Amino acid sequence: MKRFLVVGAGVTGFAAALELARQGHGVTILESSPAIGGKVLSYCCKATDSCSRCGVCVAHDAIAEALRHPRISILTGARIGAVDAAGPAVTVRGVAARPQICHSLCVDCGACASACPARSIQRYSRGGLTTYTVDPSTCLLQKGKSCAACAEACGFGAIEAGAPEQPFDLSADGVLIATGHETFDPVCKPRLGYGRLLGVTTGLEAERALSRQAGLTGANGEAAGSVAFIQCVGSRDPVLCRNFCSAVCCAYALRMARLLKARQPAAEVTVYYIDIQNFDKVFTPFREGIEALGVRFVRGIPSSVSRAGSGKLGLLIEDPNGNRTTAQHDAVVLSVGMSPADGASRVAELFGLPADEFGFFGHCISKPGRIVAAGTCVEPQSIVQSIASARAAAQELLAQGASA
Amino acid sequence: MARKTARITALLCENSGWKAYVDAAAEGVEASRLLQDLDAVKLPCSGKVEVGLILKLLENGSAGVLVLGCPKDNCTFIRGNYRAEKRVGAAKAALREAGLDEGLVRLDFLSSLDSRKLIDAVVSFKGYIDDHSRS
Amino acid sequence: MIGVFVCSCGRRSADAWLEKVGAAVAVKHFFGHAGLCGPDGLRLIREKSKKHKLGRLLLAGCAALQSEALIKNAAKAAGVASGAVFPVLFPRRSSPAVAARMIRQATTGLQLLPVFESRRVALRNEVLVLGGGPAGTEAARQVAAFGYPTTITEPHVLESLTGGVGNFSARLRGEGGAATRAFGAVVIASDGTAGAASSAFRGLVPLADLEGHIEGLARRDKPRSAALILDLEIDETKASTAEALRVALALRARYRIELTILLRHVRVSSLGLEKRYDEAREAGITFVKYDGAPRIAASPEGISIACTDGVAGEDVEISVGIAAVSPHGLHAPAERALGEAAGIGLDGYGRLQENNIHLLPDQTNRLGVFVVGPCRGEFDGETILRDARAAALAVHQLLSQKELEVELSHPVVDGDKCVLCLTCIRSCPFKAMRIFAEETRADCSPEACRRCGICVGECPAKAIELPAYADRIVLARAGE
Repeated sequence: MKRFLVVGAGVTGFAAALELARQGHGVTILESSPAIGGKVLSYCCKATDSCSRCGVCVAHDAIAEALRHPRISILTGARIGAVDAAGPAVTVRGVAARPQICHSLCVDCGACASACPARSIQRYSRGGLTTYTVDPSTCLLQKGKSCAACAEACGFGAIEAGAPEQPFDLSADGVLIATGHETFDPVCKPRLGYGRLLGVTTGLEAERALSRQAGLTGANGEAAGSVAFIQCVGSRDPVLCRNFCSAVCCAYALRMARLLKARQPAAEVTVYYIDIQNFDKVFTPFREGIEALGVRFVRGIPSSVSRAGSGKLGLLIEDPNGNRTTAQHDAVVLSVGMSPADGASRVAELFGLPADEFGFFGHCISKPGRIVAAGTCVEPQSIVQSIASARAAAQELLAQGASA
Repeated sequence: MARKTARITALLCENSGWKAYVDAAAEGVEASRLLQDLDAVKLPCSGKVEVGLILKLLENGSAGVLVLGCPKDNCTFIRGNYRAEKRVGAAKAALREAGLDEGLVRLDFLSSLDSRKLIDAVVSFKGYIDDHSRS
Repeated sequence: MIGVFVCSCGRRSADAWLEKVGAAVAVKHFFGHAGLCGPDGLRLIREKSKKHKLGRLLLAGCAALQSEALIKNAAKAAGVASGAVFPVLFPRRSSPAVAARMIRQATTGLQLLPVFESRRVALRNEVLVLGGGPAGTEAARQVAAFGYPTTITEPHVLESLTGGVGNFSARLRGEGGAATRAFGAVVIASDGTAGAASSAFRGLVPLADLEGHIEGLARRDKPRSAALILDLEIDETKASTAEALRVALALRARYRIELTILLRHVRVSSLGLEKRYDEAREAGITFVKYDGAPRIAASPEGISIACTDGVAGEDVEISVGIAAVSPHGLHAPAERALGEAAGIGLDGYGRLQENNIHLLPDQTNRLGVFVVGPCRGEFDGETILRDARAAALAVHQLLSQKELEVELSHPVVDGDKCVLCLTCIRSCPFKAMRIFAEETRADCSPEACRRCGICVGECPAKAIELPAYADRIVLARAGE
């Protein structure tokens, strides 16, 4: 039995850990944030009566299965201090926060959440995946007080308290980096009004909203009857030195556009774009279907979003010939792109992974078979592609010394 | 004297409908009150549902049969939900021929993540059944 | 003996509630507890299971009892297998009447539930790879590296593929007729049918052949302008844009040809592709993003292409010396023969494997059969290698177990009712149904079967029963 280390507890990290654990090996996943599951937990199901193949349900299934696996252990609130890849094994040292909740032992009784005096423990449950997260900003132990209420309340030994930060010293036969991505923060493009104007949200925020309610909220605080998606926000942008395509924004915007039209057929949905990136195994019928639903496609990215009259938002579009038009919508969704995660550059340094000018690791590997990368930290890609990438990376780790 | 509430049978596919039901069952008062009038039965796939079962359930006293399967192209067993659509269509035809309301059986599609849609579907179906059970 | 454990899940006046439920249920071994999900609850389960020799347990309460970890703990405490513990879910704040009803339904259903035995099935370790292109060779290489004897053949030699994971029978055409060979897993990695559509398309050259074609022309015959046309009938992928950019940049650099690339959308969702696109524009290559369908006319002077420029919003017409079309933008003949032979469904483009999100990019509807590369619609080189690796790992995961333990809970066919209409064989998504010749009825292979019950629903003679979900059990669970 070998030991592997996975850096990042998102869908990619879990998918890879599951492949390694299924082959009989032990896996430790290090996650820098207090929560496990990553971004997929925020995305909505974009099915109407037919699936849009976004992959969110598949991600939940994969993570849920990985959480149940006895050979996978997770350390949240983890910070890597030093990495030594010179010897036969890769040693990784650092510290991880307490309390730690072991999800393979957790029976979802909720006793810890009830017992916590600061109400710091949150439960997430959707589609068969249940996770518990300790909020370090309110947790008494994390704030330096002596408290072990959650660990004491847990009847299954699933919670470890003790000192608020404890060191780890792990030795692994291979490491998989799955640090994921951050979404582009559109405050960097102030003319689009994000953070200033009500009714302007990012794609991620729209996903969360559509999980909870039928439609989006407009600039006047009411249900939006007219929604605009602005593509390529933070992508394909040489001015911001982000001259790459984030691959998933066309996919999520078009799927959300379809969902909005299905939930509210009278709603007006417009997509402002440069090019539509292909997604889905059979793309043309999907695209034609959306067009037939009445989603408007406008070739041209609005240069600014501002307050228009009657509680709407005004979008200014300049075409290649210099003509200007304005369009009004109730809500604007900025289809933001991907950046490598905060801390990815530090991970790159620690593990000796070469990164390209944008910080993505690409397909080159520093120590083939020993330190590999998968998912959106490699390049912008979708959920299903990230899972496939995780499986291929796991295969690389296992193929080294394959007869073992 | 307790009012006899119309009991609906929900046939839930274990990959989608059942998971959404488990989430819905943990939700607030409104949702749980609604779900108490439901006889929820887990099936491996909505594609297993066929006319005979639906009619027997109605004969046995069910006020209505709600089949919940995965969205199209999302079925874990590839095409079970398409079959369910055909089967429920056939059941509706059988009810029509028997002079009964074909609305007593309904098929809705939702994914494992969509407990919100499950509650909406149950509310809608229950509303229909309650309205039509007066006749 | 069935034991019913009911949790009051933190209710107020739990005892009164539990008493009412117990009275309404009237089951011999009924035990109430305030918190079955805690260690106290497990102690109760252990104690009572031992005392009353309980073989099966019903755990009734909130969603926490649905958790696999809890069921495992309860099973361990009771000294039974996890499969003998059945959770019953009460919606929050259920009244005693509703709780009792749900327990009664579950116990009646449980009493009708058969106990299933298991069988161990040995898995063969030979692997068949169909296709010797980049996808096939990478898959074969990785599979062989795991130690499995791997055979590569041409895809078209496959006549049929029967059986289930670990025990496939592949009928392969060869010199002197067809022979049947046994394999544990199969990887299909053929080149796809795209090329077949392109060769004679309106007199255009397939994109991959353009450079070679121009090189073969005499100096004075070399064209001064060329057009590359993508997305002609269906939307292409980033692989096509990458190829078009590569060809265009090469031709521009080598022959100083005026180049126009016509396409619906520039697909650059790959690392470095946006920069290549910039490079192409800087090299003077023109891009026309068209709407609708281009009209192409060939004459001795060259090719003229008329289309609507989607960016400028006006009609344009260009005349070039030579034009190439990307075959992936054309409808290709469906992979019908290979799909039927291998029992794999087709997607909307006629390529292998139906478009279902639960099937990852190398998986198919048949466990143990994988599809990688162009025949599946994947043309990007890096992605093909990725999927070949993923398939190799999946093969290893299946076959490294050497033996599969299969619960015999699969559908049972009543020979007296079966009329061999073959409906079940056609409708099984996993090709798990076959003819059992000795008894002239259909028969289900428990290794390939996924217990979905579709065959049960489809059988016109009602000859098939899925034991755990027989109608009588479903009716009991929905009944009084």
